[in-house]
Amino acid sequence: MKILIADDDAVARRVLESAVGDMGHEVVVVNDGREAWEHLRSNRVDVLISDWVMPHIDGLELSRRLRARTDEPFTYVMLVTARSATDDVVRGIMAGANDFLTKPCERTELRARLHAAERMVELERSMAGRLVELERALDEVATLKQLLPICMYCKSIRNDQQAWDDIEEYLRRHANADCTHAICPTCYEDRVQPMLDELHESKKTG
Amino acid sequence: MATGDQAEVVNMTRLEASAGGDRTLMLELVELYLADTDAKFPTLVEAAREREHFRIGRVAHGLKGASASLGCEEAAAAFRHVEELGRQGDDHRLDDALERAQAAWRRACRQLKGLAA
Repeated sequence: MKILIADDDAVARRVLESAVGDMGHEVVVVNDGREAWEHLRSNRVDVLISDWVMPHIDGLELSRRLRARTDEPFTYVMLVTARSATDDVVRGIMAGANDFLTKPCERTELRARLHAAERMVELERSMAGRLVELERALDEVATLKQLLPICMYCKSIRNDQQAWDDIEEYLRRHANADCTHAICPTCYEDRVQPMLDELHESKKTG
Repeated sequence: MATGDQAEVVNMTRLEASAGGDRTLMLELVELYLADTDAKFPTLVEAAREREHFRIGRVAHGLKGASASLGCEEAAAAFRHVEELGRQGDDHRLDDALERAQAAWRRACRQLKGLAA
């Protein structure tokens, strides 16, 4: 995963950088919240590990800003803090944090929490992908629900580029549906049966 | 126990864990801690002298975090106490707490320098 570490404490930052790097993730470190926000604005980040207390922009504000963005890929937020009071946890969650790391960080705990983060990031991204697919499908349904201009003779349908599509091709494109070829009872009676009768007749006379 | 009288000067298990058992990284972290805290401590003293409570809290918080990361438990506890007094605006006990923090920090630095030597 792409992980951004924001901490104004050089020692804690180096400890985290080394631990996260050893776990095989791609790590970028920044010295404070302002630098973190600059990075987040122009780079995709899977997980932000941010100190709670930082100059300029603190971890809570970073979380809020990330959650206020609705058109960007999901970023999992882990706040690093010595705070464990219920009020602080509530404030963190309300600001958009997903998890908390207590200082000083244990490597085994960090590894486990990053596993959980990875699952959540995959889930969120997959849901976002599904949402896009769903919106596209709804658009297609909306297209099909309109009045379709159809040729009364050959049954071609006029598409939105004003060209005429074969009905099968139109359905394939807009409803993702392939047609099987069958004969309905009425057409069987009207068209097929007379042909069969004619065939039998010609056999008899021939 | 506000000043951490029972705490270890340097908890070696904690220090080694922070470095992931890598001695080179451990020495790098020690160097980083010595340089970082050496630069920050005078700022804390100055903030305390000026009774700038917000700055006291912020700088002590940083020193506490760095100390805790390296297992300098006594210093971390002492800086936490200074941080709390700063945030509470408690000037009466501040000088005494700062003195204790300085002593704990110096003990930690001495022990860490011994590791690096």
